[in-house]
Amino acid sequence: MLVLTRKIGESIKINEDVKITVIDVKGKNIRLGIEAPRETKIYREEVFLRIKEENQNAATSHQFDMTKVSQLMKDKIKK
Amino acid sequence: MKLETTRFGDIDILEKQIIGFPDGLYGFEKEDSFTLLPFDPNIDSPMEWMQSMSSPHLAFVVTDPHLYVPKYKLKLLGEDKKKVELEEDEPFLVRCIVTIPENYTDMTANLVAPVVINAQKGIAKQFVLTGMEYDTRHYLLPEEMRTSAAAPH
Repeated sequence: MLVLTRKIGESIKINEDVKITVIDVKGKNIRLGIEAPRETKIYREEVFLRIKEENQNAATSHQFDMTKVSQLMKDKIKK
Repeated sequence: MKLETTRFGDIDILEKQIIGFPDGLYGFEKEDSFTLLPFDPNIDSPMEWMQSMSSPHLAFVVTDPHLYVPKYKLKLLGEDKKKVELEEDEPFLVRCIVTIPENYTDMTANLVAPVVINAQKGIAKQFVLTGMEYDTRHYLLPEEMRTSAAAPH
């Protein structure tokens, strides 16, 4: 991993078009500003972990009554 | 062809009903093909099953988020569309994976990571939306329909 030290207000650039600036540091929290082309996807890394967990939860769904579940959903859609 | 499933036994499906997931699903990266099955052949339901082609026990409940979240917006960029081989204005299906806990009235849909399906070509991918407006556990039923949400007496 490349490791760089930056001060508040300083930036790094990735390729020509992505710029990450250190906005503020408060205790353990660092605020970053990111400038990137619109189509660049920027995520908090935890989101992937949450999605993995949720897929796993969904795969181990409990036994349930499909008729009741369907009826509830249809009632909800009608509202 | 015959497909072995834990929930429905052996079923017949057509080759064209197979949907390829080249990247798998998050946490299930090796599951590279699924098929959509009716939730219950005897009833009309807004839900479907997304059954793995290779793991008989693995089936997800899925639903079209637009039915429950009318404002649900999924903007696919050009490069996203390429990943599922969609032409610019070609229609696609969106399905969110549903988690059904012990109290099924508490079921939730993962609105952050919808499955986008190119039904014509039989290719799909689970996308991750950027931004904060949606939850991985969006309650499908409003509070008054959830038995666990009722105030204790």
